[in-house]
Formats: sequence, C-alpha cells, structure tokens
Amino acid sequence: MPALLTVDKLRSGYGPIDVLHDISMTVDAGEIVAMIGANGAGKTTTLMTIAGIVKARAGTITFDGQNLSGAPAHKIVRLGMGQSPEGRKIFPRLTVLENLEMGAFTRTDKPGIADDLEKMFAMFPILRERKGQAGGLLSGGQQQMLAIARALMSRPKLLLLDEPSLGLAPQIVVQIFDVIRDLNKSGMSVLLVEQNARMALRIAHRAYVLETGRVTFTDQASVVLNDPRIRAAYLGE
Amino acid sequence: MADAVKKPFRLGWEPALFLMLIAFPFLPIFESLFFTTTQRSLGDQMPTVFIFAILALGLNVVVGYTGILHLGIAAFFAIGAYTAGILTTAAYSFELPFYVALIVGPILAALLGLLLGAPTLRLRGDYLALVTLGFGEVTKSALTNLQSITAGTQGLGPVPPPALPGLDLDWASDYRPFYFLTLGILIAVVLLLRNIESSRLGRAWVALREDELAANCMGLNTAKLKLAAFALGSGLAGLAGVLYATRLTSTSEPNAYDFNRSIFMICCLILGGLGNRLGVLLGVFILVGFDNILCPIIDAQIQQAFPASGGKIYLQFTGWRLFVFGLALILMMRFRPEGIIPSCRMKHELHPNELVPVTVPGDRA
Repeated sequence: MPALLTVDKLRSGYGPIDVLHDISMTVDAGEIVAMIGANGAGKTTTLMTIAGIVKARAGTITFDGQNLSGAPAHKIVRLGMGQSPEGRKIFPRLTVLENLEMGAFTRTDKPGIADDLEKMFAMFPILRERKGQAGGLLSGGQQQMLAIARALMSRPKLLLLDEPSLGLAPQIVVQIFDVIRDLNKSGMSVLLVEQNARMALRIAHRAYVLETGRVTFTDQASVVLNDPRIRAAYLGE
Repeated sequence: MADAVKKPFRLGWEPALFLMLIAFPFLPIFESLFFTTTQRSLGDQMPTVFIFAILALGLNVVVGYTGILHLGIAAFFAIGAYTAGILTTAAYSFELPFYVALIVGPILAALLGLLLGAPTLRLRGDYLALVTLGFGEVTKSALTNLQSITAGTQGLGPVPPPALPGLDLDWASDYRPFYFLTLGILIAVVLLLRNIESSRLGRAWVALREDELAANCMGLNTAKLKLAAFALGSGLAGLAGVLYATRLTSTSEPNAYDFNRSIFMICCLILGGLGNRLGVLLGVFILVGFDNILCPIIDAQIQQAFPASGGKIYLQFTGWRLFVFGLALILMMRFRPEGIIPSCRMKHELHPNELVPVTVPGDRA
C-alpha cells in the first residue's frame, strides 16, 4: 500500500535563499511521524510547503494518490490535510464556536458538522464551557486545543501539527500530547513538528531529524530516542 | 437556553433609524420648523447624505470587513459619476435613461476594481494602500486631462433627472422624489450587506481580517476573497457616483473626486465605527451633516449677527471647518479609537484588557 504522504527531493525557500535541500519523507496511514531539529532547521518550512502555503521549488509531494505540485493551500485542505500552524493562529476575536465553524469552512454537510462539533466538545470539554468566548481570551493550552480541534473540523486524513508544545507549561504539554496519541489511536495520521524532541519521540512511531534543511537521520522513534548522538544533540545528555 | 424563552420584541437601532428617515417627509412640521430657524431645507440636503452613506458602506466592505486600507475610493465614485455623465448627457449620442446608468455604473466600477485588484492584491498592508492612493490620483488626473471625453474641469452636464414613465414628478424643486429614490437605494444596500455579513462570504471575510495565514490553512481562497471585497466595494462606490452626478445634474469637476474625498470617507468610518454598519451610517450622518448642513447654517447666522464681517475667511465658520474636523478626530483617536458604535470585534482588539466576553449577534451560546 502506498504511503498517505510521500515527499520526494523537496526543495523550497524564501526569496533568494533555499531553506530545504532535497527533503524526502513519508507518512503512512495511521502513523504519527515526528520531525525534530533545532531552530532554523527547516521544520516549519517543510510543513508549510507540504500544505501549499510556501511554494515548492523542486521535488514532488504526493498525498493520498494525488500529486500536489503547484496546488494552492485552499485546495490542499479540501483534499484532506488539516493543519494547526505554528503559534496556533486561532482567530482571536471570533468566539470558540465560530473558530470551530471556520475549521469546517470547506464542508457543506450541516448535520456532519454538528456531529463533529459535538465530538470536539466531548474531546475538549473546556471548549464547550468557553464556546461563546473570544478565542483570544483562552489560555495558551486552551488555544492549542482549539487549534487542533479547528483543524479536525475539516475531517482531515492527515493532521499537520506545528509545535503544539510551544510556550506551554510542562503539565499542559503532557495533556496535549495525550490528546494527539488518543487521536492517533482512533485512526488519525499525524505529522508532528516539534522542538520538544523527547515528548515527540515518545508518542511517534517514526521520526526524521532535520539539520539545515536536510534529513540527517531517520528511524523508528524508539531507535532515534536511544541514539547517543541524538541524545547528545537534542535531549541534552 | 435562549430558545426556551421568546425574546420580547425590540426594534433594532438600524430599522428604527430608517423608519424615522422614511417618516420625515410625511411630517412636514419638522421640515418647516427647520426652515424657519435656519432658512434652509433639511430635506434638500438629505439625499447627499444618503449618497455618501452608500459610498461609505462600500468603502467599509473593503476596509472594515477585510482590513485592506483603501485610500482611493473616490476614483470608483468618479467612475460611477462619469459613467452617468457619458451615458445620459446630450454631450454623447447615447442619451440613455438614468436607470441604465444606475446598472452600468456599478458594474463598470466593479470591473475596474477587479482590474486594479487582480495584479495588486497580493501586496501587503502599506504597499497596497499606496497602490489605491496612486490609482485615485491617476483617475483624477485622467479625468482632468482627457478633455475630449470628460470635458475636463467643466464636467459633463446636464445629467437629466431620473424620470419615471407615467409618473410626473417635480425633480427640480420638490425634494421628495430624490429623497425617496436615494433612501430606497440606501436601504437596499443595507439589506444586501446585512445578508452578506451573515453569509459564508461574510464569515470568510472576518476570518481573513483576523489572520490571513490561518484563514488560508482553513481552506479559504484568500486571493479570491479579497478580490470579491474589492469588487463589491468598488461597485457600491460606483452606484453612489451615479446617484451623485444625477443629484447634482452634472459630474461636477474632477476635484470633487480627489484624495480629500477618499480620506473624508475613511474618517466617516473611523469616527462611526469601522466594520459596523450602523456606526458607518452614524459617522456619515455626523460628518456629512456637519459639512453640508451645519457649516452653512452657522455661516449664515454669523453673517446675520455681524453684517460687516464680509468676506474675511477667519470670520466664516467654513474657514474653521477643517480645524474642528481635525480636532474631533484627534479627540476620538485619544479617547475612543474604536469609533462611536464599534463592531464588537474591533472593540476587543483595541481594549484587550477589559475582559468582556465577546457576544456576537446571533450567539448560540
């Protein structure tokens, strides 16, 4: 069975500068794949290029059997890729409910949307409590939950998460990662970009290590977690 | 929980305002009272206010809904006015009725909006604002210099009144036909915008204004959304332009569509409340009312009180008009930057520390 997402020799960047040099990776259906690396390694750029927000300069991206070359971001969402961007990017002045409804913008099946809204509220009870409040008034952890729930509202086949632990208290990070693991257990495929390598490697099946725009190491997450070089470089040992 | 108890009937501010405006001509006491105290007709001035309200609502689609700073709305206003001039005056062989211009003007303005927007809307923030400013200036210069088409500084005229077949109305001395025509079109525009605001398109615009990247991630086609806002805003400005030329019976001179006009409309939006329909209407009523109704009245009163003052400009209130105007805006920016009737979202942005939960119309919480 072909992989859900296949990235082959992807090159992209901003202005005169190439950030990614020949990135190749795959995500299989039902997997959590972690992408770890230092600041500026190209993790977010990889995600943004896959999502179509940054244009690829070379290489191919195949998602669910379709070639995404040159496809604009809004079409890629329709093909089944949901994203929680870096810094969460919730709509601060829309209510929690409106944020979630905006996540389902590409869908028109009203009963299905209502069903999914109920599911989100069951998964994140705090969002139900706060559904009439402006998204900007939520705490960081609640905003991250909202960002994940909003991405799920498009019923994606693949969920892209960019630094879900960013700026959150350790306890909240544990909560968020539990949510990601549960989501995956119910069948969601996840591509997870993280600086918090330890947490990411604990829940992921496989991992890619990025350095200056190249994949320098890839293996099962447990192998990566126990590799002495990785431990020294990213886990502070 | 709100569903269980039926809300008591409450007339909204917006319908109340329009009911009052509809009732005004039927209660001649107000008109005559105004006339005896000021020697001027209020009803005569109101169509101008309504026309600028349409223009401001069009600008609000671009600036208020999607957050693009548009500094050249006067250009599209001019395109509507000159379309009316070209289609209806005897200077050209078309001599079509007003109602044709009423349809063609907005369409042409909207198309030009698309034409300007398509290559430029990918620019961000200040750069786009500069493009719109430049377009406004180019349009004004073109109108002045394309003498053979626009009659230069003379303007095109006379634009005939919007005659209705079978109905003999006195468009020249009775204020009521124009009053009802412009008010009717304004109400139609308000209803249209009300529907759009609560539609998918309206919500998409709000999301776009909030965070373009996030909107993109949600599957919104941001380029198309901006173009749609630009086209609708320009079209409404064109509509206002057609009415303006018809009201003045001339396109007036190109200077009526200069940068000051664009800025004046932005001021109406900021004063009243950016993004809020009722706020925009109030802003227009206050500023256009001040400019077109109050200033001449005060001038006349001063003339009466000091007959000897003659032509000295500093003894005319009109000379101090911009001073008062500027002062009001400065005070506004200092004490209430969100406008008199802000949109709830805008208020939250400017006063993030007041932890007032946002309640949005139609809140299902």
